[in-house]
Amino acid sequence: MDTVHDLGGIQGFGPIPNTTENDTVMFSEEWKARIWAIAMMSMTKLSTDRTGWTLDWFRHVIERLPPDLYLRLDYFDKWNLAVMATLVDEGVADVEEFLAGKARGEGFEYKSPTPVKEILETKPRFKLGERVVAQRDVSANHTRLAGYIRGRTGVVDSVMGLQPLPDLSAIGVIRNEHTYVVRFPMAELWPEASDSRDSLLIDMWDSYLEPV
Amino acid sequence: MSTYDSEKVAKLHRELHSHLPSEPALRLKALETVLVEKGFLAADGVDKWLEDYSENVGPMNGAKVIAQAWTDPDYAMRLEQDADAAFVEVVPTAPHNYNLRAVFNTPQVHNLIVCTLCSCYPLGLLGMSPSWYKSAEYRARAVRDPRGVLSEFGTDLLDDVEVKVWDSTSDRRYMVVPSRPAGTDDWSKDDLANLVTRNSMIGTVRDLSPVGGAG
Repeated sequence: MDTVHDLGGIQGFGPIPNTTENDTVMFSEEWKARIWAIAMMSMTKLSTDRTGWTLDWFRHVIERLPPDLYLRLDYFDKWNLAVMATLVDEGVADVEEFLAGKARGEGFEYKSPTPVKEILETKPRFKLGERVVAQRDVSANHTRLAGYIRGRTGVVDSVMGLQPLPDLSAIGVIRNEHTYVVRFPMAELWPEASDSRDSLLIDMWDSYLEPV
Repeated sequence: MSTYDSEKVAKLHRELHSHLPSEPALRLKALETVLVEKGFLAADGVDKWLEDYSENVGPMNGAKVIAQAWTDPDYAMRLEQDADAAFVEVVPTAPHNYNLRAVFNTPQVHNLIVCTLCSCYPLGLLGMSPSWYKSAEYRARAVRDPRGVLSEFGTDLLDDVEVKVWDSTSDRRYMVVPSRPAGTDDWSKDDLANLVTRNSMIGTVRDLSPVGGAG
């Protein structure tokens, strides 16, 4: 799905903020640390309880923030909304309870379907050094195929391990696919980089690629 | 259960955002209170989690690994080939299957890490990422204008150094191993580790030359 989260290469942004931030600052404010902890603990609990929750689905929940909020809200405030939306979706609490800041009662229930597990047995379709083209279009679901490399030609820089395809994992289906690092010359990606020898390396799933 | 219903969560976001207090700290309070009252989280769960995180996770983990790689060429090779196993050798409390990959700076190559689609970072090893790493500015510009971004961090590269920008789109995490600065031959591993900064492990800083002496 093409939403504003796919920021790579978007022009018009200004200088990088807070470049001199101190290394020891993990969380600039207490509420940020607490949201982080709650998010991590919630993820662990939903995984352990096998509700069908996946990290890719959670990423998609964040991506579905209204575009203006996605760009405007603090990172941790976005996580707060995404954790609330997730837990409403799972049946842990309802919207009214979060709005009231108070639970109606103790206890909660969720149903527990386990994601379907399909293992891809085939060998990687591409080999080291092979030229590949990134798929041009994506579906309305979650994907990790970044917009700026679609339709571009690159070279397989390394053949890495299996990982669930995010597009399916985000709807509860685990299909492990081979992943690669694909190298794209900057000159192939951006008009202003036509003389550049720099390169962009990006993780790709097998089904995101086609042979040249 | 997860419904995987994209439109449903989009609607939930709007509803929650419109009616919750605008102050983020109050939103957090609502979240934490409801989850504890429900019994979804233990009352002291958040404090315990944060205590454990601050004790075991942070940039020093990566700094120790890099100091080891600087002083032991065999270790550096293991770090390049199997970063998870090499990390655990130096930081025994680190997760065993983190799916980490270490990329090495050389005189000819400079590495820069970004996650354009969210803000993926080795959070379970190096702690929370810097706020600039999560900014829209960095995510948008690092893949298109890496040299411009680097110069905002005071890192100006010569034309003969190749920049490799790694966009971390999968569940593999990247860490840059910067080059050991000159004049540190007789330094201890602890002193070397103290030279390594969080930004250098992402690649926005290249030169770790000490300002003063060791210690």
